[in-house]
Amino acid sequence: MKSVRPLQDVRVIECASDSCPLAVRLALAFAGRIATDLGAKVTALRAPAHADLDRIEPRVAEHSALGLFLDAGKQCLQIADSRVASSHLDGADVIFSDVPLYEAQVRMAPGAVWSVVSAFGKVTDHTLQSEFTLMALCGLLDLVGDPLEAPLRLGGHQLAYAAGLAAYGGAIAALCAREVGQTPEAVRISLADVGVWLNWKSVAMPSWSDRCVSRQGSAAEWRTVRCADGWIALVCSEADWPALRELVGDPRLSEPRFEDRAERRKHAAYIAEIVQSAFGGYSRAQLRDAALARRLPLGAVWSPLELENDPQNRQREFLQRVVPLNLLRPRLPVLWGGHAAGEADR
Amino acid sequence: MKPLAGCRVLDLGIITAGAATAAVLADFGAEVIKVESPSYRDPFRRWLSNRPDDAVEDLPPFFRATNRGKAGLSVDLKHPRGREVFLRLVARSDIVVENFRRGVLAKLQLDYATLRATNPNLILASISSQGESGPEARYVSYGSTLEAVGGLAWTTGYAGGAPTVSGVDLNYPDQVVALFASAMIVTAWRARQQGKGGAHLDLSQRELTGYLSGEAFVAAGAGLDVRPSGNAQAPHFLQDCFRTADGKWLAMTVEPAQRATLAALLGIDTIGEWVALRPLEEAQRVLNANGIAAAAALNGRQVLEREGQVWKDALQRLPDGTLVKGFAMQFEREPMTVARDAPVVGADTVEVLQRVAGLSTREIDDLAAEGVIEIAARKRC
Repeated sequence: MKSVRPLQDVRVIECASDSCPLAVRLALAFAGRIATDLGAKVTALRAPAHADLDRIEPRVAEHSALGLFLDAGKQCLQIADSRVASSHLDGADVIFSDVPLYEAQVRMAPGAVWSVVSAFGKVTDHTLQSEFTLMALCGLLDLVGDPLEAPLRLGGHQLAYAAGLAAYGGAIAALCAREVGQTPEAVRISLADVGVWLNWKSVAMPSWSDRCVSRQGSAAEWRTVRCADGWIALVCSEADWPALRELVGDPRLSEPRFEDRAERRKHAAYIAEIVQSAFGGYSRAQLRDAALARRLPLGAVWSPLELENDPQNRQREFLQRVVPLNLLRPRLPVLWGGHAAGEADR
Repeated sequence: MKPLAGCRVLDLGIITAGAATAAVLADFGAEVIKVESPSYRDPFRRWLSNRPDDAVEDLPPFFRATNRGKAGLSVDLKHPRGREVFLRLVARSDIVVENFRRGVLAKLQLDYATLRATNPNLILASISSQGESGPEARYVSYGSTLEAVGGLAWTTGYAGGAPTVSGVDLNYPDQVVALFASAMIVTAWRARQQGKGGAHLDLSQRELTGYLSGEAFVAAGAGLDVRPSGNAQAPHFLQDCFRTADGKWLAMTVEPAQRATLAALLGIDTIGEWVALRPLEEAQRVLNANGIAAAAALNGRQVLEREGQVWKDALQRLPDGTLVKGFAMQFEREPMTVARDAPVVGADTVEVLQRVAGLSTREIDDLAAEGVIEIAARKRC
């Protein structure tokens, strides 16, 4: 697949102070990852205090999987400490940094767009938080898992990466403004604000009604159910109900009360049991085909390794084996005029 | 700062993924025109159910939240004259955002080739479940479908338990895509400003969900076992939620260097026992005082109560006090603001057709009489 590099004229610096928490550094690295994939020349300045990123488990060929994903295609420079020299910032168009480094060194690169990530922004100076505890404060843990068990995080680093997306998006917008003559200005991203922005429905809902949602486990309207060779995400909107009922083929789902979505929500655990019982004789691939045929939003739960040979991913060349380590890596999830955005050697 | 000042967006986006993407473009200063039809509304105008009781108005909170900052146009794209009107707008616009089911634009004879023939500089952002191509391109999905088929559900769940999805109340992939899609559109806008022309952006939400788990693919591809690990996560020595004496959940992260600190604090108790003996506030205070990250696992109402303490920009208030989606990023010197409330159906039909499409009052009246367009009886300011 040919690649496009819309940012090949852009120079990006990624840097952080010694005290920068891991969650913020992951956000900065993810923003840099996107810029790299779009063809920017990205230099990650790494002080000794930040060497841990490449040691985090799991490790592949002496590097962390995290580092192999986030730093691919970047120029990573080891620097003596996080007091970044002005020569490093010379000619930078965009600088992804944390707050202390921005405040200490913004004068070194006044013409650049600074995209500055923090845990809380300006609402509090209390920074003693991890990505996990920030997710707790944003209500993101409370929504996932079983009500009888602990609140649960989503896999990976979803909050940090979402903040990285916001940092990239704000930076490219500010760069556009700079290029039409507006004075460059900093973009501020707070992980707490990003978390609440993602979780807007449950946070705003109590202001609209008496309803306050929380995780529902097996009583959730959308959840996973077992099938013959794994799990299927049972997802069904109002319009999908008749097709799901027909696919399952159990007369209990035809009870008149289940015509009402409110009743279905109330009895979601009962409905899921019926569905699970019906799906038990079918594989994920069979259920995927049935969902496709009926335009149902059911989702087979695939493992990352299974997805390498998934027909959809193969046709779109989403996952790539990259030399020299034969790494499996996703490309940037956009096709630009039919072409991948990314490194030229793909 | 208005980075997209002078940029006009036709927003065919619906529900969250498409509509919230266009809302971010409005925040950046673009003129966003939400396009609906006399025969097709954004489902967020009546989201909860089709019961008559739920049809209180056409501006329910979900719709207002994701469509503030936009003008509203209602034109029937299935009608030849409606399609003609839409193409006149395309000729005078810069960006079209859509997240219909695959095949709908083609059926309306409004595919990229047609739009490009009308406006060669147009950026068409197609946000879809699986992408424009491939054997599953017509797969219908919501966010949690994508968590399953994209690989995220495989890494989410209690240790040894079932793969887990975020569910209907979060629907995570449908939220996060607006950050990515808007960023790619702005990147394409920059390229266009440099004279590189328009583009068709094919944005697959399934692929985005996988990309956001990139390190899991690296690890799995190298033969490592990738499974849900509950709340535990490297490089932390301990990370989980524990029930406090007052029945709340305390989330904490302990770093490897804090093992000795934690051991001294606990004495002979396990961490679960230690937390269970203390009310949340006390446990959190003691842990924080010892340099350990700890915070309450809040529900939505409790998060809302912490506006100004924990968060500031993520939600914004309309003049009548209604909360709507705010900003995931903010400009320092000239902060973004929400320019206007969401439109009722057809709120700006006349104004848009006159100013942008260049139609006369008579032409507009004819279209309305024929049922090709809708003009709102009232307009919310």
